[in-house]
Amino acid sequence: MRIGIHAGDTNTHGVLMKGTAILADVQLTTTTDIVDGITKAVSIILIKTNVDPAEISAVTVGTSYFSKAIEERRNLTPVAVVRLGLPATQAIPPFTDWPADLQEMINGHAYMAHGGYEFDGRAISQLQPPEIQEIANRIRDRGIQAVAISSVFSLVNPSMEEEAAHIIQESIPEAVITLSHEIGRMGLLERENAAIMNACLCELAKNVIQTLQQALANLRIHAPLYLSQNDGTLMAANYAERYPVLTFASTSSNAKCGAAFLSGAREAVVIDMGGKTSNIGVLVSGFPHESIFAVYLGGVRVNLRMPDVFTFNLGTGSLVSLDPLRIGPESVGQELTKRSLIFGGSDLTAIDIAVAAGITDMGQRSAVAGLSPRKVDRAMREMQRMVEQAVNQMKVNSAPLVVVLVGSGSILIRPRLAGALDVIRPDYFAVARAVGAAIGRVGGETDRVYSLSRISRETALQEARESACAKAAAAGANPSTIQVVDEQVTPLNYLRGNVLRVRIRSIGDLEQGI
Amino acid sequence: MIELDKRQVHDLALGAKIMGGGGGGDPYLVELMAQEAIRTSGPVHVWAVEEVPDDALVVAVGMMGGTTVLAERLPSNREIVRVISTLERYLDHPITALISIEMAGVNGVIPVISAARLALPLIDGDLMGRAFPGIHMTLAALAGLRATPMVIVDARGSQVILDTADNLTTEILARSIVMDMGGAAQFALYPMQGKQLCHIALSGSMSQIIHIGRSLHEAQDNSQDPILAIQRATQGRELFRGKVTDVQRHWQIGHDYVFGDASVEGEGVYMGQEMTLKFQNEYLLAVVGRHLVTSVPDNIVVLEARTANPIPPEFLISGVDLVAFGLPCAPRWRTPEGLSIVGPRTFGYDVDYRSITVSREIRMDS
Repeated sequence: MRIGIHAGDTNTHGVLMKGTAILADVQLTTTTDIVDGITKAVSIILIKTNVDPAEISAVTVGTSYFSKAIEERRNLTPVAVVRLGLPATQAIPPFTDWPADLQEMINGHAYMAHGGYEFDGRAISQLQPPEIQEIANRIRDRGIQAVAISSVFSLVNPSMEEEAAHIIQESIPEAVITLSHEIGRMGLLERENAAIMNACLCELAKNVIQTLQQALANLRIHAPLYLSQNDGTLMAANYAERYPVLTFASTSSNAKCGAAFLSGAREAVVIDMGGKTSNIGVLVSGFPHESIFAVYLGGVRVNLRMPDVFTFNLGTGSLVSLDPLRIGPESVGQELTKRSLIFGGSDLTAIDIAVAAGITDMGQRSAVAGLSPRKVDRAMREMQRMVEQAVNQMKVNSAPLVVVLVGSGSILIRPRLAGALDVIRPDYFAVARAVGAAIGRVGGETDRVYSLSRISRETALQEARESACAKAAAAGANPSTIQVVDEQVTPLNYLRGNVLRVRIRSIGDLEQGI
Repeated sequence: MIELDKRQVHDLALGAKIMGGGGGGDPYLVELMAQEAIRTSGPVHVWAVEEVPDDALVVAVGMMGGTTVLAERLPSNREIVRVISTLERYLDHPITALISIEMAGVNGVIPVISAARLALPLIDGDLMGRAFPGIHMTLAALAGLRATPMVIVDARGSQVILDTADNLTTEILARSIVMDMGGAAQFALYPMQGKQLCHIALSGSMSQIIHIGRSLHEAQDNSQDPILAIQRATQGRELFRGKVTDVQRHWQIGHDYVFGDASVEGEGVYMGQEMTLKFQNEYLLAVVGRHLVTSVPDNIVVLEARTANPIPPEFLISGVDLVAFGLPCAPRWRTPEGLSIVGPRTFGYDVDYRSITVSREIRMDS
């Protein structure tokens, strides 16, 4: 049996699953202390079902906690950045184009050193150990313990990043070092940005994950812990401690994977409606459709693998004014049960409208009985229109399509949408994110560049496949179950066509199985 | 005389990015460099083509090679200055003004960096009117000018001066050198006098790109339809809308670049139709059904339907929803001489040029 938890910004959801059956579910308001909320959800599940904790084979957790730490600029540690690439790359130093407040908070100094590779594997310049040693001394003297290392074309050859890390680790044994080739894709600045963000979160991630493991052990759950990644796959806890940046998009991906599982749809538009906002994205062959463009996290441009998501401001806690009609963008968020009319508060919110319209029953219906039915109806139609507009923006062609509605906010609208072939609000819709976490498999990804003057195409592809599979294994997949699920081979533009960029994704089962 | 300030460079970069939807790379990084150059060296003076003195010595500057390489092995800043100083030494004459070789993608913006750093005026024009993959594919070459002497400088500081017999040879040699320089390098080429330039350059193309960028910025600020804003600003003709269902890339003996084919399933008024986009580094042919609707040298620009983000060929994948626009090329490209340099056959496609301005459609016999 697996326990899946998703701790979002507003709500924490949990499910207990045995194979494909959902045995129990739970919904809570997300607590400031992330571990408290998750532990509470797990204990409620154990109490509700009376399951022996020893029967739990895995706990899988998705969370927006780390991306929120970046958005809200809290609990971040200063990072020293070491970039290998001189004499190239000086035109655009590390931290270029960062929001000033975030840069001020985590800029523990940037160092540019010799090193780095050309696309064909030659060195731009040799790594100079004394230069790195000198940088290590200065980082140590400043008392900085989080280090991000980037090297030009480390996706062609990671050796220099590794060698520099070795020298710095020797000097600063307690340093936590993020290497850009382990998380990012092609594009030095964006990959370096992702490495810096990862490094500034490592201390927080280690604390949160280790506290959570201890809390689970206190509940006598000794099963391994996994965290959800950006594409909805999982990674083992010890891997997640080192790569917290890979959890950033897990909320929308878990919702989509959960929606695919609950509805049985493999090609659909998924709308995940929460307390403040709603996310809309597309499922292609049962996986969240990926964005092909660079994304901004906390105002910083990164090139992580991220789902293509469109967010609009509608959720159960959206503030509503009836005269003139206005819905959102402000929301009462986590204070829904204090501030909305049906829960005894004094703010008119979207959930009050849905209760007044009679499409859902919650709280004290009498509290909204005085609202003008005509105005309630207009507000309902406006919410419906907001969702239809978002579906229109997202749809990939004009053919009618299947829409899956999930998330606790999906009770706000009637399951009939203009332009949709079918609208499915599956059972357990409210806890779809937790289901997505629970059913996840372990994933790995690789992005490499090969020059075919030095290696045959087949050997290059084979090496990239092995690298993607090794990453899935490192993230906790059972090696005998790992398969390649996606391969993209594109030539680098404006270079004679023998330089290939190879992107491969692999997926395997959890080490313990289900 | 006008000046390029921070805001205009931002508009220019967005306009060049949109035109980069036909090829030429994403100017994000070079815009950062241009903004930094303007911040430290002040705004760039712009000369209209007709303002250029007859005796001015003008050269085109830009980068050559892979834009993916440029985004990975970032420049050092020195190469952008060195291409000019080395060429000045070789010519034994100071350079008076700079011009863009192609007003699309990264090369729409790089000349701003050079002009700011060297305090040289920049000319409101370019030598291609769109992105092309070869340095011999210019209106200057069409007018009989030699691309050389040409200087190429890489990020490590190596520099090469080419002085060649003809422009195609320049392209072949320069491409090989740039590959061995790590796949991306800065160049200065086509030195010419002001009195030659006024007959050669595509006048006003930089202003036009700034206008396109500004129109899109304004549409975004006012939550207006970005695609419509781009169409209006570019005067482009919508060729097709739909979803990419298949992308194939194949290597062909005798050709440097990979040949790509994308199938696009129509939506809206194009429902039931299919478009095939033939591409290499740029989109080169658009075939709807069996009819060739547009071909190189007219420009095919591809945008994502929802966000209006340009999708250059290297990022094209299945599942993407796109809008394709056709933009007319400079009229000089439509002459037999022009087509012998940039027509479909020079890219390996055995079809006649198909202008978007002609409404009659030619049947393709597959």
